[in-house]
Amino acid sequence: MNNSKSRGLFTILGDKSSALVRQFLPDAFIFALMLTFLTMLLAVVFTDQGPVAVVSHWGEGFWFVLAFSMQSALALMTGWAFADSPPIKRVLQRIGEIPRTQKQAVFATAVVGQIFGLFHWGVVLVAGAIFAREVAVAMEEKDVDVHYPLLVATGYAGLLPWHQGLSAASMLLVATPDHFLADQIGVVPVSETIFYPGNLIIVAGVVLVTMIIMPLMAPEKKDNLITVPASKLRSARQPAPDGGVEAVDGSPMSSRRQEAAYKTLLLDSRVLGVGLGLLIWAYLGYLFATNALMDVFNLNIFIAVMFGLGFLFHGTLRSYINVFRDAIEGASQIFIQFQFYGGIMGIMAWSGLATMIAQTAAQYSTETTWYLAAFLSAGTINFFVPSGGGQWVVTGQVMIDAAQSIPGVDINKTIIAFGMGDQWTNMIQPFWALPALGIAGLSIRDIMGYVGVLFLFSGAVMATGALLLGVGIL
Amino acid sequence: MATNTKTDDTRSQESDDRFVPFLGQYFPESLTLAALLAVLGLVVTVPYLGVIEQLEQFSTGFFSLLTVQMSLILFWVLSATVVESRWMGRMFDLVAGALPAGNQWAIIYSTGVVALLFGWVNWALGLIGAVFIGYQLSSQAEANGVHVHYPAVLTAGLLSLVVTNVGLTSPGALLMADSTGTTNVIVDPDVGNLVVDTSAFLLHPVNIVSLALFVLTLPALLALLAPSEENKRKSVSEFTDVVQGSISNTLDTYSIPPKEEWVFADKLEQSRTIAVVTFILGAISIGGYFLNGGELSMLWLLFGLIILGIFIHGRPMAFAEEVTDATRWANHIAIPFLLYAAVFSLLSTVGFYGNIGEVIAATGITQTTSYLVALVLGVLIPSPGSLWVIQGPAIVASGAELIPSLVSVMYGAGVSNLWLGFLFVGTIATIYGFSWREYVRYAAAITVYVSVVVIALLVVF
Repeated sequence: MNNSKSRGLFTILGDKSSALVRQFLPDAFIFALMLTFLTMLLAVVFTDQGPVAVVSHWGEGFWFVLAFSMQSALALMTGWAFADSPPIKRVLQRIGEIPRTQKQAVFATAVVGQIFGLFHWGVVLVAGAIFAREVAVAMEEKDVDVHYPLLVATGYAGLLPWHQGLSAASMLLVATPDHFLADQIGVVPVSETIFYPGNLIIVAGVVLVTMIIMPLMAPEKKDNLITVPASKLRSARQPAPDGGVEAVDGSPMSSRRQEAAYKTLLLDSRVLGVGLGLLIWAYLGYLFATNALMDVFNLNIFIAVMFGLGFLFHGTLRSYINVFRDAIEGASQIFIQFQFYGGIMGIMAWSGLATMIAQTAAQYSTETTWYLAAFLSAGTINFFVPSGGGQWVVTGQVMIDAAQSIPGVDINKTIIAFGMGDQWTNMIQPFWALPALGIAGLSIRDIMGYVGVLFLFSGAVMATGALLLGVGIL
Repeated sequence: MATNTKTDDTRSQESDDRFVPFLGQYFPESLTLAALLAVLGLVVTVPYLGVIEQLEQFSTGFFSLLTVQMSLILFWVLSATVVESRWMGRMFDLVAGALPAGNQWAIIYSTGVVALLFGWVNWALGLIGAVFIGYQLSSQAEANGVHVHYPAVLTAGLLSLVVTNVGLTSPGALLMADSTGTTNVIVDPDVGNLVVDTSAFLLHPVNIVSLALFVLTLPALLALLAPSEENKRKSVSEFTDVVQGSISNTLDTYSIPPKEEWVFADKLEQSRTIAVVTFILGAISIGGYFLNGGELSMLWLLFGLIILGIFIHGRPMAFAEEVTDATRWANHIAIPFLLYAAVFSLLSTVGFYGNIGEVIAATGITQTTSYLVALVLGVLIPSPGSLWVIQGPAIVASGAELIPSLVSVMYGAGVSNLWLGFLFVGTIATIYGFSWREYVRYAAAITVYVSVVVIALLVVF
């Protein structure tokens, strides 16, 4: 009885939150524009910078994340092409066939998403959404109604524990010799951060709360269900390309016989398609065999992994090219919106706003409350500077200065609190959701209501964890 | 029944004969060509690198060119986003209304002039604008009983490809205008050399004289090549409709949700105020940059295009949707660039660019060689910016003067793009063109004429 009541409560919470978001949250692009205006306003009001200087910082910082935007777009496009390859589609379809009910489908997506997120943030952004999409398609084919936006939101929620997981940017950075704060704090090994027992306990709580809350929000009324879009179903049901029967250049050729023989040979040649994949993987295999995985694995390597696997699994260039058209369209908003966040980062960094927020947090903290303050300030700044590594570069110095000014505060715990804050507000920040939205074919308004609820509950877990770090229990 | 079959067969044959599908059947896609180039890069570096190092450059070469790749993608996408808008459509309608449409010669000539002048400003403005304007002029003429050979008009619209890479938004020059090394792969930011001054590039005698000459004579060449006999002319109505009503209506693809269904979030998404405020803030930022002595570079052009695009589309969501649609223009670069980067990385690591540069210098006709190499290589690499990334270091290594070298490569890339016209025409609209033989005749005549002029000017200046 109690169980049924609590389920009803979460469902209502999910529905209400989703309805609220649909009413008030605009598209991610408009959100980026509004956030730009807000950051400019805050910088003008709270720093000594004039309006013209702030606007100049925006323009100068606009390309702050140019390389990163290309990495993200490539991670999405190569990951998409890989996941849409015939063998991977078959595997995902089989896994997607395991759940029998809506709640099982959401739970399965949560489990897979959290595993991806703990492994690598780049993986979860693409693979989490692709898995959610495949589960939705599998459920649709089994004639089981599943709320597609919740499923995609659950896949995206895999990003929540990333900054306490194996790819935690700040923690990996401070573990690297000669990192930019090495003179001040030395090298902090991952055993003191990622694998610190307190961190492991908190991240276990975060994962657990995600796996419990997301399925509980599944709408019970059929009226509230939005199933997978027809376009996604169509593409999923397309027979696996067999070397292709349509022209890839968009011309009205009806069959391969109208192509020049050498064009057919090149596009359908497995020697070329698989050969390219093998060349890339020959190096990656050597790299992984001669180094510890986590020492060499980064976003660039992830792209190379996906690029190579894409060729291997598609087999032919024709198959790869056919899938790629959708992938680039899915990446279109990354091309533009990431640059606006670069502009916001420019204002935050050069106006001194980011430093001011971190200093304010330190000013009112004690040994007990510092980690909570660090968590909250990192969460606030992440809203404007969504890149975890970028945020550490902008505010790391201030956080460490502040931590060292409060007696009894540990550096490793400060970094853990910073990581928690950084990952927390990703749940209400559309920046990272863009790849998932591109893959799923949804708007931010469709998913943000659900991850907004998770934001509240996971926030409670992490804030409690931060306080327990302060009192010395963790 | 037999007659119908024959007609269908004839149509099918004509359809196969049209230049977009015909030439398309021989083009094995940018990705395939990029893959072959990368494999070639591996083969030629075998004697100089260990296997692992070779494979490393092949697999991870793109790491160092991420900013260049994103800049070039945005260059294609944002240019098209700005041009494919209602406001630009209105401007094209005005231009089409003001141009003479009384006879074939005037229509081909004026379409060609518009293509070259607009193309000099920006590739999308010239290519998309001239193709649409040419279509409108041909339609107006037909409505007035004037027979115009549309294939020649369409080719005149494609003339923009020839000069667009030596114009105001030349991708090669803009990449090279960056002194920080973000988009300029050749610059040494510590030394500050090998940065192109865009004004010097635009005002270089080869650039100015060739542009003036081409604007005056290239459209005339096409008008002369077009059939003068009325019965040999193919009217625009024989082709697929490209423009529905006006050009502005055709380019205005954004559909606003019904106002009565708007919630608060919709009001923000459709807010003209947000678009205007963004434009004003952007204009202040750009103004501040140039007032402080800043030079036009690729990144500042892209910033300007984003700001202009948001303003010109009127509503932020209209801009965002058009960006998604315009990504079709970047298909030829988004993934193939990873393999171009592999070639660049392999050749750079081995120091091969120095050897190639020596060979180019040894010819004694450095600029001419650069032009001819770009002309051939451009068929394999449709993106002129990417072509410069691969070819540029060799030219620099040859010790040749930078600006004329850049002009020669950009002209070579432009002329080879003309041969890939089937890629561009197919992307603008569902026009599949006309007989490939006729297109090849036009393209060959233009290639010969442009090559003679450019090479002569490069030798003289």
